[in-house]
Amino acid sequence: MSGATESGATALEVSGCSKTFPGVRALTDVSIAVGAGEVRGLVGQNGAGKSTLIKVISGAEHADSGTVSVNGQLLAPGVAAHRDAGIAVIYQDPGVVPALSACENVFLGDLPTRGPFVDRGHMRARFEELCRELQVSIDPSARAASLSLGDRQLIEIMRAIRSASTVLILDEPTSALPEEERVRLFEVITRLSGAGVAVVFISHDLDDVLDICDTVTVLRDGGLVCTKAASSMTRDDLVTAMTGQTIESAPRSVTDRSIGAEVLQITDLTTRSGADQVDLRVRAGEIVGLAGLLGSGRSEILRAIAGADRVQSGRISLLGEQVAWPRSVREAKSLGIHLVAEDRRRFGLVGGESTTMNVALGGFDRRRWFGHVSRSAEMRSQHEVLQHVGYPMGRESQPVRNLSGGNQQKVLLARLLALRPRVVLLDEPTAGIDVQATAQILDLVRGLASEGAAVIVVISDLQELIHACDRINVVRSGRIVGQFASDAVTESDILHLAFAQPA
Amino acid sequence: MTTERLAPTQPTSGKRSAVRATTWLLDHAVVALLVLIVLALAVLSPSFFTGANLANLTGQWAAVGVLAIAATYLIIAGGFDLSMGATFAFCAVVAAGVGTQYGTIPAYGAAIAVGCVVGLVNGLIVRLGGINPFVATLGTSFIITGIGFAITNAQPFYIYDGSFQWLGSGRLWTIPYSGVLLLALLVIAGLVLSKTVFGRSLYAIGGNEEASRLAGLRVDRTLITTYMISGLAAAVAGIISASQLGAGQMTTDISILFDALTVVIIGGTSLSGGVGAIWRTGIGLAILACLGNGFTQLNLSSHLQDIITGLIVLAALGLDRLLTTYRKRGMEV
Repeated sequence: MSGATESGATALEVSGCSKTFPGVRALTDVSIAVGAGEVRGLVGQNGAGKSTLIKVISGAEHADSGTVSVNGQLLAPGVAAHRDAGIAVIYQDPGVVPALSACENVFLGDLPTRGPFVDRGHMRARFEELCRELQVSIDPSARAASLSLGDRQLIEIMRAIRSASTVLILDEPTSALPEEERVRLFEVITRLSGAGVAVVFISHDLDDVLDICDTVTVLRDGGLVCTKAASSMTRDDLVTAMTGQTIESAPRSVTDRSIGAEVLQITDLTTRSGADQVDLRVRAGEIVGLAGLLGSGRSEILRAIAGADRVQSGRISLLGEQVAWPRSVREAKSLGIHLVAEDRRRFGLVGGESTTMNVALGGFDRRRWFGHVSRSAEMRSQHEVLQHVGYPMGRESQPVRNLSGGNQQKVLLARLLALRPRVVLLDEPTAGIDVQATAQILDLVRGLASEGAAVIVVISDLQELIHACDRINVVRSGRIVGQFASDAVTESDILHLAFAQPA
Repeated sequence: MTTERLAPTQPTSGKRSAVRATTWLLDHAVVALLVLIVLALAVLSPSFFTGANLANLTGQWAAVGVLAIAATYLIIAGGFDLSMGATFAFCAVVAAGVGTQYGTIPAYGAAIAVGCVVGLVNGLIVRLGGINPFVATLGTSFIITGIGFAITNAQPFYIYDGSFQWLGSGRLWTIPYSGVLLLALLVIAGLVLSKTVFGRSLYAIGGNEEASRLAGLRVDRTLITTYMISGLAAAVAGIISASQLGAGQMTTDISILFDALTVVIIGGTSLSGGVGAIWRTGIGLAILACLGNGFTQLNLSSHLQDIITGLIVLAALGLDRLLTTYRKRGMEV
């Protein structure tokens, strides 16, 4: 796919941009030029300056020095001026109005009218036209709330094309997309670049970047490291450029962990939420991965085991002894089963509360209601575990919403570790986290396992999953359809099973 | 990734502490407002800053204050109770009615039992029935009012009984017992909210209910209990009122609910849940009490007082909004 398109005249040019937040240089003399029809990857670790650069390009931040121009025209400051010049930014979390239809969302803010009324016919026709252009099909009258994440992103892209955007910036568009929607998004990007749109693609997923982009720009510490043709780079090259050093991928550590007795045995688990006759066994010290497409039921299996969802049937044995299925998170916890749910900000953390309180929250169910909670005592008792997970000490009393994704995940792991879990269920613990923090988090998970916990983990990134786990179960339509030892499996083995149509 | 988008650079300690200082100042502006009002009244009205006057105020505002305490709990936890006004009046009627027949202790006990049952029913409807708290408690509010008027025939129940009126008319030195009760409840409720597992759970649930459930908190039980506390508080406020007036009647000013909510909002407890404190409610109560008292003493129109109160409420909400923006900015730099 890469290098397939001829790049035309320069569409977007950022030249000599610097931006200083008091005391910190967020961007230092960064210049990039993206041609019409070019797909440009933008990579860098958290804090490398990608976000600031996007904000400068979108007009949300005004650079201290330097200029942004589109098709040779210097842009006035401000989001509106940049948008009018044809710059559109699409974030991971699409800005659609859930209650309105797909069609209305595309025309949001600019509904076509005939007399005093909305011209639905015209709107419909134009919508179909856009769908044909992108070769996708979305029901125009479907409410946005009922659409998948990928469809909602497409709606934003359609909105951008409709208003004749010449520069399209996609900020982490794929990190939460299931495989098939990701493939579709890539096709759309290719088509857009074919039509002459300059695309800037930001992602932590380096394989995606190499796959889809013509050229890649690497940022580090606010400065430009290099811009190169994607075809001339490998994943390792990118990591080296991003970190300024070579990160050794930690060896898969089945060997240095002793696998003990069977801790958890799940038999015949069926839930309304989608799990279908699931059997699972996990031994002490073992990390078992659940692979599958989004919506395949992998999260639902974890939630059911954790007592978060009702189950219709299922038997559960702990250390060989059959116990009653936990009917609440609280009951599961009292059995030593702990879940770290996906989407940490929605299902994990209380954003406005401090790290101290968020960690302490995990122990509330073991304490008396009117028992005393003291911040200073909590802080003292959490010190060790927070240090262990690599939390930046000294920020414990700030609201957790101020922390980076990696540090938020560490808060959740600290909560977990403080409870000495027997069975650990982790749902997407590394989503949206940079390379180094991901490595740290996976190390901590291995540490948990080597202390004897039985771990089940869901990670969408297959390479990461294979890397992290000892065994991998593939889930499709709520059923376990295959099992692999992770040292004898490739990504395509898993995808093959995950995608296969039921006979 | 989103987090990264918001925090692109390592913030400097200087900028961050400046933002934090501003946030703190805005967060405590309500204290400054109270100080200003007190100072102004102390200068303008010689009789304002006297022990007797201030002591009387605690008694006059005891019922509102008790309601406001419970409303603070519920609002922090993300709930709401519109039936407090009706429950308050109904419990005053129950206390007065039972008191004339069976004596003080059964009277108080009956009122408290009624309050707790109303709270329990509200809690069950909202949590287990999954009905929006505004709608659910609006419904129960009508039912309670209806029952109350049916029982009383819209007539007040009078009660002349020394022991029944002891709470409302007795004094500890110069402070009315009802005022002492209010101050004690403020302290206890403040400690429970900030220092106990139950209190912290309210913040967690109001801040992120689903995360709290997944962390193993008993969300339903905690909230139902909080609705019961709300009913209990309405009963206590009703008892205070009946004891002060020597009567209970359904036509008792139901706007007491709005006074209580005004107090909570002025104090700075956020209606979106997860943020607030009892000391804030205490300050809000003091502001409203001083304003009312000052306007009376200065012989100013009570309509003007309404206008000023309205402005303060709007200012408080504006401040809440500003603070939210500032907290977000604190995250970005």
